[in-house]
Amino acid sequence: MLNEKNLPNYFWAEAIATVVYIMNRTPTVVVHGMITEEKFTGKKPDVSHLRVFGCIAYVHVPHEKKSKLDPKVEKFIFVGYSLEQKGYKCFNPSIRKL
Amino acid sequence: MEKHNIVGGLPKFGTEEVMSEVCEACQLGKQARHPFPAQTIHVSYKPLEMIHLDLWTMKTESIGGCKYYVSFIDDHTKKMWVSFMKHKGEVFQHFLNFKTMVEKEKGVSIKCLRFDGGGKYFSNEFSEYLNEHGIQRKYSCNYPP
Repeated sequence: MLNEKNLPNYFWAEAIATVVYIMNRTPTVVVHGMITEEKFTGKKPDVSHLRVFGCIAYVHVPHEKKSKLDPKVEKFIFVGYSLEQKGYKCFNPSIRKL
Repeated sequence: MEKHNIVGGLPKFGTEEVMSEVCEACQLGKQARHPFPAQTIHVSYKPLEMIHLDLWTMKTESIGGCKYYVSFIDDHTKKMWVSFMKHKGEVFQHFLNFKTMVEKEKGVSIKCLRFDGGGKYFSNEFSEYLNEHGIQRKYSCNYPP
């Protein structure tokens, strides 16, 4: 995943977390083709929000943080899914922060 | 060579006499390993009956400064959790957090933990905790395929 998007190695933690997130939402042979998450929680997981790891994400800048002429979005890199809240984890390349 | 009869003394390939001779040593030498069973035997029948625990080390630090991660896999459902650590010694704390989280979610308690052979997980604290709470420990084979 890191190589495909030419991301540096220090993204490994995000990559692993994303792999686990996706693997918990894919069917497994060992549990007879059932989805792991479904087997555990009994609920069918939703996959409509999945995105390609490392793709470009345009993050909306809230109204209070910009003036009239500033752009409405900023260009980030998508690096995973947040477990605490509904949203994605994005990396800001210019300040090197999540 | 055989077809054009250039040399003498070669065995006739394709004839029954040659084909029936199977060199046993060759067959044994070629056999690298037995095939894997198509279906595995389930060890656990309920979620959280057995948890596989593994610790991994990375050379590079992540953005948050972590160098290790520990993975928890539920044997029954194969659901996986990971947590990232800066030091190896944090395994115990992460295990406690994980245990509280899943047990609250499922309402059943963890019965058995399976590690690979390394002793790196065990602080005295960890072993004492496992003994106290009656959680079994099992070790997987040293060099699994």
